[in-house]
Amino acid sequence: MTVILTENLTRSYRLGGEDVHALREVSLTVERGEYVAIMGPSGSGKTTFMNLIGLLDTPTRGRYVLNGREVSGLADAELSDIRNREIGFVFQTFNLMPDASALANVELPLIYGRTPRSERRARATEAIDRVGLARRARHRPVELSGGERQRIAIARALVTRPSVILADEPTGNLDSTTGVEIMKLFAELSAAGNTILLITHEPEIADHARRLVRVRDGRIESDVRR
Amino acid sequence: MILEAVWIALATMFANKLRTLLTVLGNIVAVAALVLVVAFTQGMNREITRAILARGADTFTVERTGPIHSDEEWERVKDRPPVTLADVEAVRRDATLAGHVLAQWNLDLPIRTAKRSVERAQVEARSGEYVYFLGEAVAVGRHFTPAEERRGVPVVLLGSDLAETLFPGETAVGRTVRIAGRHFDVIGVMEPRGAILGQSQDKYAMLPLGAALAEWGRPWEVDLVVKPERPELLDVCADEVRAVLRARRGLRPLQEDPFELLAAATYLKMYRDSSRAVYGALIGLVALALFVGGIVIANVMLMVVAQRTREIGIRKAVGARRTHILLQFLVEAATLSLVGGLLGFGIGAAVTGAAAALTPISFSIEAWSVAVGWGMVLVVAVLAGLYPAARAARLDPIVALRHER
Repeated sequence: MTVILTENLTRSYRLGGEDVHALREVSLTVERGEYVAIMGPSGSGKTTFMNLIGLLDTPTRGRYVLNGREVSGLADAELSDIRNREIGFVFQTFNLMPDASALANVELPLIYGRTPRSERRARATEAIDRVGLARRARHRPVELSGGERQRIAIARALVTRPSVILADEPTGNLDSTTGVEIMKLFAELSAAGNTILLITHEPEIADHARRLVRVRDGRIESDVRR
Repeated sequence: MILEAVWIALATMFANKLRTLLTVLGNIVAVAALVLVVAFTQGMNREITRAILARGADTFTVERTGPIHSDEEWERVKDRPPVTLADVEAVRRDATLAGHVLAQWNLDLPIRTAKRSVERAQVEARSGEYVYFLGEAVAVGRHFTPAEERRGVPVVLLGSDLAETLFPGETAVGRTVRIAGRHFDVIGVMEPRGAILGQSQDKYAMLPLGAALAEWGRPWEVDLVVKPERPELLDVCADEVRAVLRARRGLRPLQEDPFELLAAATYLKMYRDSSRAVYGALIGLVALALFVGGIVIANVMLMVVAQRTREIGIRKAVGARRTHILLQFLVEAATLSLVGGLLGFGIGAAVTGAAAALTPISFSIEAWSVAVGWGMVLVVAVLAGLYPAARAARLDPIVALRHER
C-alpha cells in the first residue's frame, strides 16, 4: 500500500526579488513498511522535501497524496490533525519540551489527538518502554543524556502509531557510539513494520536504509533499492 | 488542553514571582482601588443617607441660608432676614396644609452638675410639637408635654452621651443640672442616635422652648421645621409655606426667596451630586491602572511568546492547531490577569476589613464591585493576550523549530 505519493512537487521562495527553487518537480512513491534514506549535501532540498512531507510546509506546485488522501491545499486545522495522526517527527536537536518530564513529552501528541487521559498515560508508557527508557520516564530532558533524549523523541514520534516516521539527521548531535545505537533502534522499528524516512548527509547513516534516494539541486538524482 | 495551559501559566508565574508581581501590578491596583473605593463610598453613602433620613424623610426645614460653598454665595445671602418666631407663628396660622410646625432654637450653653461640667453643650430648645418630629425615643424617663412647654417648666432631656458625661455610671433622671446658671430637672435620657462619620450625635440637651424664652429672651433666629398633613403633600405644603413667608417679607413675584426650603430629598441630592464626583475620579483611576496593566501584560506575553518560540514549533509539529496555540496563550494571559485581580481583591478586602474594624463606619465589600472587577480583568486579559497569542499562532513551525533558545 502506498503511504506517500508526490507528483512534480515543487517549492520555490522569493528571495531578494528572485525565485529560488528549493525543490523542483519531485515525484516519489513510498510503500508501507519501507525504510528510505534521503541523502544529499546541505542546500540540496532534502530538508524542504521533509518539511513538505511532514506538512510543516505547503508546496508551490505539484501533488502530495498521503495515505490515499490529497493533502496539498488543506487548511491549517486539517493539516495539523493529519500531522498529529500520520506523521512522527524525529529532529536532529531532539526538540523536547524542557520543562516537561519524558513521559509528558511523549504524551503531548496524544493531548492534541484528544486521546482520553487514562489511555494517554498507558500508550506513552508503552512507547517509552519500546525505546528502553521506562526507568527514566519521570526525568526531565536536562537530566537525560543526548542518546536518551533522542530515544524519548523517537518514543514521541511512535506514540500516535503514525503512517510514517520522519527523521531529520537524527544522529547529527550524537557521538558515533550513541548514533549507532539510535540507528539500531530505527532498524528495529523498521523490522516491526514502521515506515521510516531518514534524512541525512552522511553515507554511513544512509547505509542503514534499504532504499537510498539521492537529492541534488532540488531534484532526485538517483533512487536505489537494496 | 485548557487545564494544561493554566498549569503552564501557574508554573511559569510561580517560577518568576517578582516578574509576575510586576506584570500584574496594574491589575492589582485597579481591582484593589475599585473594591476599596466602592466599599468606602457605599459605606459613607449608607451612613450619610441614614443620617439625613433620621432628620425626617417627610419633613422640610426653612432656613435663612442653605449650605454655603463659596464667598460669592455668602455675599449673596448674608443680608437675608432671619427666620423668626413670628415667621413660625405665621406659618402655624396661615399654612393650612402644614400638619405640625416646629420651632427650634439652637444654643451653645454650659451645663453643670455639682461635680462635672460641659462648657459648650448643644442645647435644643423646642416647641411642644417636637414629639411629632422625633427620630429617636426616650430611653429612660419621659418627654416634656406641650403644656409644660407653653408654661416654660424648667425640665430637660439629655442625649445619651451627654448624660453619661454628666452622670457617669449613675441615673440622670431625677437629678438637676444647671444650664447657664438656671436649674433644670432631668426628666429623661434619649435613645442613642449613634455617630455620623465618628462624630457622636448624642451630646445634646433638649428643653422646652417656653423655658428658654423665659430665661434667655427671644431668639434672633430659629429653625422652622414643617411636617405636612400627609407625606404626599410635601411639595404643595412647601409652596404654601413659601407663600406665607414671602407675603410677610413683602416680595414681588419675580424676586427670589430670601430663605431656603430644605427637605431630606434636597440633602440627599446634594450629597449624591458630590459622591458622583468621587465615582468619576474612581473610574478614571481604575481605567488608567487597567490600561497600564493591560500594556504590561501584553508586553510580557510577547516576551513569553518569543522565549517559547521553539516550544510553539514543537507543539505544531506534533499536531497543535493554530487555535490550540492561540487558546494556550490566551489562557496564560487570562490566568496572569486573574491572579492579579485576585491579589487586588485580597488587598481591597483586607483594607476594607481593617477600616471596618478600626472606624465606626460599617464598610463592606460590595458584590457588584467584585463582579465588575473580575469582568474588567478578564477583558483586559483577552485584549492584552490576543495580539501576542495571535502572533504565536501564526508562527511558521519551520522557523519556530529552528529558533535558537
